[in-house]
Amino acid sequence: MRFSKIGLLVLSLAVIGSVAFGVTTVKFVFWLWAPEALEGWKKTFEGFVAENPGIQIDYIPVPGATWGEYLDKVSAMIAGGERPDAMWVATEGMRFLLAKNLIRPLNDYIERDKAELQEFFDDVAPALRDAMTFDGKIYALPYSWNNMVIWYNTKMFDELGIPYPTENWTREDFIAIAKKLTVDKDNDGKPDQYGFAIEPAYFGGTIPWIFARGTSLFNEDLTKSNANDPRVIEVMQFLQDLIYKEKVAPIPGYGPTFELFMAGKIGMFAAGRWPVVTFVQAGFKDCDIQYWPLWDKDTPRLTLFGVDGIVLFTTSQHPEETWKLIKYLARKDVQAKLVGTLESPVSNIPVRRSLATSEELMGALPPKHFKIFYDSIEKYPAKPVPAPIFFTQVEEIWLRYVSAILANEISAQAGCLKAHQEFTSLLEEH
Amino acid sequence: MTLKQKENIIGYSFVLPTLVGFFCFSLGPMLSVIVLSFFSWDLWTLPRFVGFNNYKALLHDVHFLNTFKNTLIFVGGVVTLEIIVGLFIAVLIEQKRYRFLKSGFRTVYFFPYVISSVAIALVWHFLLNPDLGVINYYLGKIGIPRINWLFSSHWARVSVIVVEVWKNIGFYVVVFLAGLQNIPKQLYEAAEVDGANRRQQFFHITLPLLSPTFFFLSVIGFINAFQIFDTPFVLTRGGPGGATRTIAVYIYETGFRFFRMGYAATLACILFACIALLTLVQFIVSRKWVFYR
Repeated sequence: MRFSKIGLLVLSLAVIGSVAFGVTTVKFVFWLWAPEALEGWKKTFEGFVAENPGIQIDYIPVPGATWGEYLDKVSAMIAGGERPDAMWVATEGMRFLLAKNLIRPLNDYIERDKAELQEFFDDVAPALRDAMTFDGKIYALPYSWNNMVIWYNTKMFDELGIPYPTENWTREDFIAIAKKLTVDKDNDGKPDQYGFAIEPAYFGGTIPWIFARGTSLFNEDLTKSNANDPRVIEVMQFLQDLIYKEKVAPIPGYGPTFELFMAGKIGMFAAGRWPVVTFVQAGFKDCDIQYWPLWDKDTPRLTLFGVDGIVLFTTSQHPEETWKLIKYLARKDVQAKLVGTLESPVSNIPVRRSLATSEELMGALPPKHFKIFYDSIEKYPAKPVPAPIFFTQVEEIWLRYVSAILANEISAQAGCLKAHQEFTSLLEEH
Repeated sequence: MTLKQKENIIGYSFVLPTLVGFFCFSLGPMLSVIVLSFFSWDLWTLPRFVGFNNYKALLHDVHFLNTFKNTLIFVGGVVTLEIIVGLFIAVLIEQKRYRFLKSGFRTVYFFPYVISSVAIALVWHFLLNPDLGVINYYLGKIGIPRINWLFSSHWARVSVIVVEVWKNIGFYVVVFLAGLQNIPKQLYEAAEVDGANRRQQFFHITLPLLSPTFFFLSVIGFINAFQIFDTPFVLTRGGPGGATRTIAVYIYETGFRFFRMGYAATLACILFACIALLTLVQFIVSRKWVFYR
């Protein structure tokens, strides 16, 4: 009994103390995509606390293999009663949070601190900022992003005497190169190395081709399905043909793409910047990137990208302090240490032009032509990944039919039309 | 306090830890699932009462029908194979001439049962890889063309059943062995004296006397097979085209990926009702065929 009284006394003293001395705690949730990334975050928070003595950060690293998995775990946490002030989230998740009225617009804060933030917005490609804007209101300061490029194994190209692809290569060039890269070394009728590996993925596999074809899976405001567009069907037919007609790609599930690529079993694959960490850890250098191939000479390039940022929750009791943290995470000296370095999420591209094109930061790591990353969003029109509010369901539907099409179990046409039906009823339902 | 009261208190305190666990982690969540099935809840905002809407939505849900069909295919395949193969292996091990190897065999067959099912599914994922997997390599050696184990809807289902059976077979073997050992040897001796051959002995002594074992294993088998989750989730991710998506996988996705907790709870209630009903039917029918000595 005595003990609990003392405990109560200590606790109330602590509460009174923290109020009296004005210490507020900001709860921040972020995606810990790899355990080694934690060190960089910790240092960043220490730096913030040193500059802002009145603010403590209660940081919650949430592990997960993908953005989706991360969001799942955060959801379970929220359901368990956790009330964070700020969260690192990708645009796909932001639409969901927005629909639930869980995050607040930052316009007033940005307007007030205009002078301070001018340098940041000048350093960020407009497309990245616009992707955080819904109905004219901006809900996050962009933090990092990714686009889709073609990675190729330079050693395999050199061995076969194939010239490296150029910026304006077309789908025809792509197929021709893939054919040359597909080699049956032991003449057993089965290729021992393939030209290209198709990821049965949404952002990372099918949408870049659909964008290249000059269309999208949904209409402009993401309220209607466009999966029955003959051009979408054409794209899926093309992907199916790469496996079964041209025979330049293995059926999906062939094996771990990065490893097969490093082993010279796959000549090209599609990704953003995220393979870098695997390649660096393995000491693999025989790779480079090129822009996504154009569909044909007449279809202009449209860059696909996905971006993430830090959002401020409506339920936050300390919006001012949280806003300070959000601003801090957007600062150049902070991002230079945290975004895209080996110590921290090297899987993403920094949103700041000055960092993403820096020889010092990006040039130290593969690929050699890293400038393609930022050029793709500034030299060409760019659109964020089409992610309606119920993105996880949309993705599940699409990938179900993509996997069936790529397994040659259903025609491209039938798959797209069925996906269209399911999209339509999903979007109508909500 | 009388002795009886004292004994009662001691008795209850022995079962208390289990009881607390049962109420907190089994009965409590089960009841809350039933309540939740009448709500719409996305985890992020407060639950909203929707009456029977979730149950009505079930009627138009094509996925539900598909996953239910897949689950029934797995239940049929897995339970049948587990019982037949389990019995076959148990009878082989029980042969007189292999007696000295019995404990060794028992351990070997039981081993997969204690390994993490995710690890099992991951290893089989490598073995079954159509191009780089060991299984297709050896099948190729004996002239069987490449089988697309994981990425054709037909073979993916077969793969899930095979892995599921491989994983659980040890349990069935051990229970069958126990059942076989319980059969009195005098019965076989008497049958031999009467001139019954091995086949007749098997069908007229072994099988009838194993009927309680069959009953136990089929009840357990059905309950487990209806809840198959880890194997398809890791091995095939429910694909291709949803061919190996079971109800349990669908419940997980609905709840934790689509954030439709209420609807997921409804699906869970339906699954519970199916299993309960089937088990009840099994108990009723068992009176006709299960023979207790």
